[in-house]
Amino acid sequence: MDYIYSNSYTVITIFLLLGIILPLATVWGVGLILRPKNPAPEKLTTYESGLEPTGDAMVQFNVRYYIFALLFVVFDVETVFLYPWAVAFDELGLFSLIEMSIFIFMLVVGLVYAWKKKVLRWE
Amino acid sequence: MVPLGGYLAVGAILFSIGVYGLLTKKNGIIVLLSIELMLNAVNVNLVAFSRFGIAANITGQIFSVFTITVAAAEAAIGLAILVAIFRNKATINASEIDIMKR
Amino acid sequence: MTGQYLAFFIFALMAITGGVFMINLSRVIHMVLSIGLSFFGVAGLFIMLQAEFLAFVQVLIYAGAITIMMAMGTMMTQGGDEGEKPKRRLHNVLSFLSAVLVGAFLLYGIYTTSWPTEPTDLGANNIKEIGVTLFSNFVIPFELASILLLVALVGAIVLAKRDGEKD
Repeated sequence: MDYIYSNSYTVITIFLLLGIILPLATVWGVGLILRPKNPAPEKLTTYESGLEPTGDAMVQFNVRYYIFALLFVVFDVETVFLYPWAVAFDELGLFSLIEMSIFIFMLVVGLVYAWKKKVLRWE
Repeated sequence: MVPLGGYLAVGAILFSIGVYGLLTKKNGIIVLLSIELMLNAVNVNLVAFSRFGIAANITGQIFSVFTITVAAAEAAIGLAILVAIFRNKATINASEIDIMKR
Repeated sequence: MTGQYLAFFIFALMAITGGVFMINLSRVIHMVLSIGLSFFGVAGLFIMLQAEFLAFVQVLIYAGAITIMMAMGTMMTQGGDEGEKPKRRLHNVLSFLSAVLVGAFLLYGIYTTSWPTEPTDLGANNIKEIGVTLFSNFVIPFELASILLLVALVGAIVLAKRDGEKD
């Protein structure tokens, strides 16, 4: 069992190394030989979908972004509990469905609160 | 097989880095991150003991899941407090939030 | 099994360098990103301890959600003074000493104790076992976790929402 376990991670390690080496080889290995070389100062500016970038990258963010990040984190944690529940559902039976319904209900209450407080609206 | 002591040593080093950051950093966000690092060190210990302990079983991993949940809630609330402080005082420097000392 | 030692060394190095960089870098956003490296290293250690589900959770919540949230928090709460103005040298030295003492005490304890060396096989695919144990033995903590998340959500919205805005 342990043999199979570490064997599968050897395969993953090989894939990881290939995934690191291949882009590096493309950009700095083969690409360096094949690509035309024509440096210009415009090429070094930040790409902002064709617009001229103005100002510093570190601008003050709106607090509204934080509320969305917060909702994301809460439902991210919900996923963590949902996944083992779904995997083990065959052996757990109906009682676990009730448990999970209470859990989801609690989080939906939070979502409804956020909705009622109009923090989901962008104006 | 890496012995249990190795994992525990990594946990101890991470914990002391967290203690140092917690005591010296002035930015509130970095203080929160140091707390997260300390919780992470505790998680390493829990998972290591769930594999190597005397009565090793899966409970250590489940306890870690709850620790991570609490850490996420703590980070959310801590950041909300920092945002509220920033709105009122225009700083999150921990050495300038001293209104209760005066 | 030298491959395992190599992997352990790389992951432990990732975790510790991330933490050390967090202490030493000068810009806050770089500190937040370096702690992300540390979280990834810890996820690797979890995989080596046959806790694949926890490694996945670690990447999903710590490296994904918390690091991103802290980076956004950094962008929301900057402005004004970036630099560290007053140098509190004595305070820093004392903090360093206390952190070193805590670490040395723990490491001494780890070194001198004889730990059980034989690992228990938790099974390579233990998500099902986690699910069964979690939803039959830990029902009350699970429901309390949902209440905790609800309280955190409502509390954070109350704190972060602007006071002047009437709904």
